[in-house]
Amino acid sequence: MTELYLHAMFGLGGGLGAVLRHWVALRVRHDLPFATLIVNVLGSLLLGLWIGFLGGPVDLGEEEKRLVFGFCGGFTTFSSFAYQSLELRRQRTIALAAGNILLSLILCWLALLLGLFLTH
Amino acid sequence: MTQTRPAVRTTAIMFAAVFVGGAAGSLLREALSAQIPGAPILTATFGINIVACFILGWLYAVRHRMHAHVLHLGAVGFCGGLSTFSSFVAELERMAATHLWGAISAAGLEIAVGLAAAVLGEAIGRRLLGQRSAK
Repeated sequence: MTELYLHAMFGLGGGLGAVLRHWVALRVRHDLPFATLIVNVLGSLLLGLWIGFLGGPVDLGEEEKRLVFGFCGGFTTFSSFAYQSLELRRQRTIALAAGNILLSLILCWLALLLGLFLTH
Repeated sequence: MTQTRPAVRTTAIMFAAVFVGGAAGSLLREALSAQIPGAPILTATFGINIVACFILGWLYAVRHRMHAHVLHLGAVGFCGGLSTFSSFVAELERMAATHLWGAISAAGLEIAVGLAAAVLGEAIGRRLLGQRSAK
């Protein structure tokens, strides 16, 4: 299996993740950035599940691994999270911005742990 | 939001732009992660996330001048694909196993620098846009 093929799988995962993230953003229209929070929490949960799953007795091809890792990275976003926190601070209150940051960190951390716990 | 026939084509182009941008951003992150030696706190993901924040800030500063599809390609697709929250949290979790306070500091630092990078990108984007408009 060529390295190029593996990169293509990673890129495919990333592209699909980005499309699904945008789809969620279009569905979850809200004043507050709930869409980003949702994708980041779900993506962290999936990454936790995947890391735990791969740590078990499984024999998966490298391409499946890359596809899902690519998907998690493309689905979740740090840049939009940062920019939306900035906008909350500017247009609403600093408390909402801080809340968004803390909630994102805590929920994503818990989601990742839950994923690891479920597959361990 | 009501959709008419021509809107279907626009929607298809929009998602295609997000896909291409997301794939390109993800691939760039994969390539960079392999090249950048990761330090305990300043990991490759840290640096890449900061760069994505900077680019996103820049793009939003000039968004009124750009076609919507370019924004979908660059901001939603590329910056979103380049940056990642899941790996960020996974690295923090790994660090927290041995250094809880180190992980908390790293999280705070990455977010603070990310916000600063977005502000900087915006400021530079606005400034260059202003210079161009003045001509």
